[in-house]
Amino acid sequence: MTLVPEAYVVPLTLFSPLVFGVLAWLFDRDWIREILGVIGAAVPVTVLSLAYEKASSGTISYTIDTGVFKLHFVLNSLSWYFAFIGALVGIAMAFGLSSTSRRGYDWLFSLMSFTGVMGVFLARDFVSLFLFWELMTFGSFMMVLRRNRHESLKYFVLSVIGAYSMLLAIGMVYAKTGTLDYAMASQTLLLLTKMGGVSKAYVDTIFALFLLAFGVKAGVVPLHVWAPGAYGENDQSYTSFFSGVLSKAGVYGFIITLFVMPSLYGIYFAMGTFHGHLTGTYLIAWAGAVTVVVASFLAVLQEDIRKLLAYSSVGQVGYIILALGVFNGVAVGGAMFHVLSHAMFKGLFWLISAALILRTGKTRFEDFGGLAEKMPVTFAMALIAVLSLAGIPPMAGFASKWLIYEGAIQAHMPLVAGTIFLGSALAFAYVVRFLYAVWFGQRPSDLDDVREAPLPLLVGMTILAIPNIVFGIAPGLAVRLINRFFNTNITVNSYYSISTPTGTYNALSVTLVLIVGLAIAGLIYIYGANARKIKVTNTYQSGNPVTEEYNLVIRRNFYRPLAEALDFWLKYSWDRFYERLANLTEDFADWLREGFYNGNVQSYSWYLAIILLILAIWGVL
Amino acid sequence: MSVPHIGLYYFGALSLVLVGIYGVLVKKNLLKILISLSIVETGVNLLLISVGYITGRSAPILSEGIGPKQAVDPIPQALVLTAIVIGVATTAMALSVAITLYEKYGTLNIEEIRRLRG
Amino acid sequence: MNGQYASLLVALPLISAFFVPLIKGLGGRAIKYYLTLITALQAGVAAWVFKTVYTTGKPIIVMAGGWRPPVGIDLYIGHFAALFVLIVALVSFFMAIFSFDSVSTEPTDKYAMLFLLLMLGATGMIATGDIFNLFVFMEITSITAYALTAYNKTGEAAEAAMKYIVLGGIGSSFFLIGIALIYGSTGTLNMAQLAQLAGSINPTVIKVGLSLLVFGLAVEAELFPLNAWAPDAYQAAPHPVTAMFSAFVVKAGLYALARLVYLFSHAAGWDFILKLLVIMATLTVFAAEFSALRQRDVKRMIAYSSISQVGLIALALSVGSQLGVQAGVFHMINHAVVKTLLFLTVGYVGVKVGGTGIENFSGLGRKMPLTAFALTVGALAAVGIPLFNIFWSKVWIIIASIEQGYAWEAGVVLAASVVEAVYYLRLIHTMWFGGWDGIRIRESLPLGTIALFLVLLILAIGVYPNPFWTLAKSAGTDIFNVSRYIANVPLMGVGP
Repeated sequence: MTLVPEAYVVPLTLFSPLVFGVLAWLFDRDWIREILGVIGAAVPVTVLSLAYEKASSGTISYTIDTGVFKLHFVLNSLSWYFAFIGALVGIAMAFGLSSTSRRGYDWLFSLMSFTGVMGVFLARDFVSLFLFWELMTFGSFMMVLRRNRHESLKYFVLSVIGAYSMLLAIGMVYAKTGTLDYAMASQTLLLLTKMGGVSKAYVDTIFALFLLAFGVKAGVVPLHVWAPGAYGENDQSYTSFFSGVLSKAGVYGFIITLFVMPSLYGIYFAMGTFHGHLTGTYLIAWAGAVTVVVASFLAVLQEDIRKLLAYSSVGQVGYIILALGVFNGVAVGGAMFHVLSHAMFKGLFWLISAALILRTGKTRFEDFGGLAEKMPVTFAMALIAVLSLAGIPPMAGFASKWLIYEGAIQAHMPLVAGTIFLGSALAFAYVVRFLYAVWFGQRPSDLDDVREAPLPLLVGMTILAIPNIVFGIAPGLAVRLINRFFNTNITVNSYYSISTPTGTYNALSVTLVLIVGLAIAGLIYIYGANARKIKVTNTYQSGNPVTEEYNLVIRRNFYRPLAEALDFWLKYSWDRFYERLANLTEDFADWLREGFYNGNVQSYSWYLAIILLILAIWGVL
Repeated sequence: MSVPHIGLYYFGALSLVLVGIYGVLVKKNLLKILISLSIVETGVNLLLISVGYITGRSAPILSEGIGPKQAVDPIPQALVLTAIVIGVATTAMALSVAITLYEKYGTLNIEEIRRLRG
Repeated sequence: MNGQYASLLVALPLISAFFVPLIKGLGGRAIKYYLTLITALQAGVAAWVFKTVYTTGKPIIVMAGGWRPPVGIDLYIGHFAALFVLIVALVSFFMAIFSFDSVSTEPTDKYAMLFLLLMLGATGMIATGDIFNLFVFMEITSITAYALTAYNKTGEAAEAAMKYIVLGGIGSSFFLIGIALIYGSTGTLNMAQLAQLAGSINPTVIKVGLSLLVFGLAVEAELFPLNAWAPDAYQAAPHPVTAMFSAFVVKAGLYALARLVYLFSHAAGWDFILKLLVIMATLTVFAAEFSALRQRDVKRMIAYSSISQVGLIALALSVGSQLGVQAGVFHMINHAVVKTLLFLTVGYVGVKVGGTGIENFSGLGRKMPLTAFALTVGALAAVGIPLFNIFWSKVWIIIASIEQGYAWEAGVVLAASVVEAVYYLRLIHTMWFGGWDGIRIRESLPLGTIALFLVLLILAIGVYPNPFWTLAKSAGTDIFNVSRYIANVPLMGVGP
């Protein structure tokens, strides 16, 4: 703590990425740029680690007075948790960018969104929230804009709609309460609601607008359409941050609306119950559940690595939203844990995808194969990420999903729990494909001289891989942290063992059993199995005749039967719906423009006459 | 000389305004529209004058036998003078524009002068 | 120094305009140097007036001919007028410099005269304290604006001027009728005295009179649906003039509108006028944003964007609260800065590349990097991205309108802003990532300096809005607080 004086903790965390990003942009030379960028990204994570003691036991406040508004930031255990996760992925992203990007532009805007995210996590009033929210969106948007105008437009329009809903909601809060501080506004609003100073519809509207704003960023179906394009058409190192952390800003927004503002929390009770569940949260839970199912199905059907990861990311954030909606201690604890594990494994995934694209220049499954021996370290990382995402112990992904599942069961939401299960199964289906199609099997001849990923990228991957294992084997570490800011009802027996009211998960014993099992299997494989070495060229036809039109190898159209089964549903696409909406808007704009500004001065005079008539009628009556 | 009731002046002035507006709204020829605009201005000026009119008094020109007590309110008359000057300037401007328009478009039909639109 | 020197604000451009024919003999460039000099002088005077008003905290009342109002016509240079007269002068100065590059059509001496008269008209509209005087200045502004619109001598220019004349003519005629009615029932033209008498006027007369005044000014202030002339005029006028239209001519109209509306705040039927204005303002934003969406000509697109921002200002001014007026004034300042920058850069591209169609902006980031950068900053500011100036005023406008119960209107305005974001985004993308024809154009140093100055101003206000917000607050209070306005004018038999 003495290393960084308390007063500097927040400003350093907030502004060092941005400042160094600008520097990297100004001194746009190889190495200088990269070193500056990495320093900028390293400061927050360092400062936050040093401030852990103070932040977890108390709070560190920081205020910027712009004169017009006071911007208020607080580092407490909740914001520390989120900010630290963000900073960790941030430094990994910086290492990744050192390898994948050679542009000052990328550094500037990726670090700008870094600052934005930190601000969102630390903000304690709506103006700072909005300011940094926009900064974050803007930075990420510029990253997409450079690469694909159409996708960036989609992302931008949805983000702006979200941002303006937030602005409207903030305005509505401020208009009634006269304050912008979360706690004050919330209390005043609660008081006003009780005294009837604010109508229920008014508060409902605020609530809905906030959820719309945060839902866009979190990618809740049907607001997710920007995600595949924006995540995919981007520098993949940056996407690790984009998908790993920026989506968490949306989640964090949900947490603000649900828990930090008890007045909005009060709405749940005002909205009544539905089959014994609070209607408000039940809706959120189902929004999350739908997101999980839809996104997971779509992820299964993708032929492009980036698209697969993007949909998977949407689906995984859906878990978090679902868990928040389940709204009991265990589920919320699970949600918090999943925030951590999703950031880690999905960040890792995107860095792997960055390495693959950097080294091979390919993105589609059909072009990959047999890379495990060419990129062994990356493959090891991929294995960790796959295991964690699929929810296989002893990875972090298992612990968090397990908690969410327990929570849903406890809340008596069997259908929701069912979607968790379905989502997990689908997740398994798509990661298996990722694992096999990319790393095993026959290697296309043009990939023969592929080299291992560059060192910085590997460093970035390692930074993200370690927590996946550590928090998987020692979930108690994370839960202990989460218990500081939520009463989660999860007991920490030891670092390795956590208990919910309905069950216990001892990661260490599971790990040990797993290791023993694997060891036995390995021994059997080495000494006992009647294995025959065959060439990789004939491993995957399973005896079926292969025709060109129905060629279901794992690298191509592997899940086409599923797609055919889902044919009816796939006809409906939110993507197309939005496209059609956009076209309608443009047609309307043209109609208005051509109709109203028709060039004829006589029509214009008629407009004047009509207004005069209105005035005359009013004046006389 | 007996002067009709002041309401008649108002009526006349407003009729002129309405006639002018009718012209602007209906006539297709640019010159007719400009003339209609002038008619509107005339109507407005007449209205201004009649606002300052006090029954039985004469023009506010300081001369023998006419002091402040015998004259009508002078301010509207000053206003109208200004307004007339402004009206002349506008009309002159408009006519010069009309000349250019005729040169460039070959017509004064305002339905055909609509290159700028949308 | 005696405050009466503030009358130089009106006198200087007027006299200088008459000297232009004398300068003409020295050649076309001399006229432009002369224009620059006069606008610089005017800016100096305005800066002095600004300093005086803001240090003493008292308005300067210039009494023409030494007559006390209401007999004499007075100029009321309060906090708002002092601020805006300075903005008018500064923008004119910048645009005078811009005229070197962008105005080559002869006769430049006429251009210089009209330029000065336009500046004079807007200054007068902002400064005057007499309603008929307001009409006169408004007409000076309009007639010079008609002439400047037609200045390029193309068919389009004449067409735009014609539309402007017809609509402006109708508007000003009805404005004059409004004056006649109000004069008829109060016997005064002084604004302070009118405000005193506002409550006691016959309700029918004041309703009709006020609504006609509002109608006349709304044409100048580009409120929907009375703004149909505006995009054409903006597009066809010479580039510096377009910037002036957007930066202060329309602002003068808006100011006059707000001033008159609040002067009559005790009048019968006032609420209705406000409601009507709010509706018109909201529709202005909506219609203008959607019209800009598919626009192929960037200058026209920005013209529509300007109109929509004007609608936003009008909304703020007509929600009827002090905060709203202050936010509106703040937005006026920001909008003046941003739109000057945008029209400057777009105009410069038009001059250098040969047109303002969107295709001319392709690859501008490499063709004219500085211009493209400035244009990008301006576009981002116009969209309302945080840390750019317009963001702050937009936030306050939204808050003010919700506070007054206009949440729906705020929602509509914000929805329309989404559209704005889309078309500016297209422009930015075309500039930086569009195809480049490999030509690099040398950018002029003075214009680059102006553009950079404006960019820095945008960022400065965006990052630290406090000083400007303070300015806007006192200027807004000047409009909103009518009783102080009345008290400040030394009315004969009323004041000290």
